Amino acid sequence: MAGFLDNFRWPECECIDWSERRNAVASVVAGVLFFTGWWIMIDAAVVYPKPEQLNHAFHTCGVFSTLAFFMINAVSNAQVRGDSYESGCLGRTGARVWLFIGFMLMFGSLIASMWILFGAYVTQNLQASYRAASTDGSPLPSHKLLQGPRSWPPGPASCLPSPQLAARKKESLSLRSHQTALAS
Amino acid sequence: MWLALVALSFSGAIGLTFLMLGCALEDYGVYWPLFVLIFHAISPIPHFIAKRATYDSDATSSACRELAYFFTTGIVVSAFGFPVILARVSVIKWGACGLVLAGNAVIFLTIQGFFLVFGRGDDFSWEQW
Repeated sequence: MAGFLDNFRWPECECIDWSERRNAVASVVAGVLFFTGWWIMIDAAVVYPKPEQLNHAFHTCGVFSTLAFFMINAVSNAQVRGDSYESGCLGRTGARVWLFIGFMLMFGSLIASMWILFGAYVTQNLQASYRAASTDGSPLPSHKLLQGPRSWPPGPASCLPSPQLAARKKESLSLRSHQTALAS
Repeated sequence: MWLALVALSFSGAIGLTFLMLGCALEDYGVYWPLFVLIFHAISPIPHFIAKRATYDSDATSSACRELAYFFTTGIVVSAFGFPVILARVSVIKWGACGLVLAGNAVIFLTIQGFFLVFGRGDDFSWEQW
């Protein structure tokens, strides 16, 4: 069981020499993935134009990922090792610092996109299903990530009581008026 | 060589016919998909820039050529994505989107056919530019 794939070989195809075309295939696949990602973001922005559905600040993840992509690809392996003839404008250490900054931007935007996914969207769906199971049908307050640019400074509307408290007050008032109507 | 030219021009005409059908049929009547013609026109440009810049001295692989492949792929993906987004927000109908996508596929295959048939060879020299 341990090595049952050891003797497996891909079926040989002699018609195309893949070793020489590896870079071309890789750049085409990279282009498809990269631009499909950007068009998915454009599609989301077009189908959900309101800031409550898609805060347009979320595009910064894509922008920083793109910037990091070009930064990382600008540096070749030879420059990082110090092997190339011309040292470039930054030298070997500069190339390493450039790569470091590029990778930090990339990982940072990836983590930010995960945060946005779970913070602004997944938890909203979970809260919506919990609230649908409970009795009051108050509208779901949107996550602070999804509010538009007018969320700061907080206006006078934020001093109102929470919707649940208002709903309970309304229920008790209606119950009391119903009791007085019955009594009369 | 003449046969290839005639066949390629025929398939180009078919592709453009699909695109125009997607715009001009009575059910559709919306001419926004014609913007994909911009993507068709700029798709060969990265290849020409890379070919000009590197003088083809590196035989097998060149970073400039691969960057050109990357941007060309991006332009092709954009030409397919644009009608889909138009159909998602109901600017055009999905039937028109399907026709435009079919036209895109045929036109890009025609452009690729042009490069395969006429791109290689010693007569493709710099003096043409």
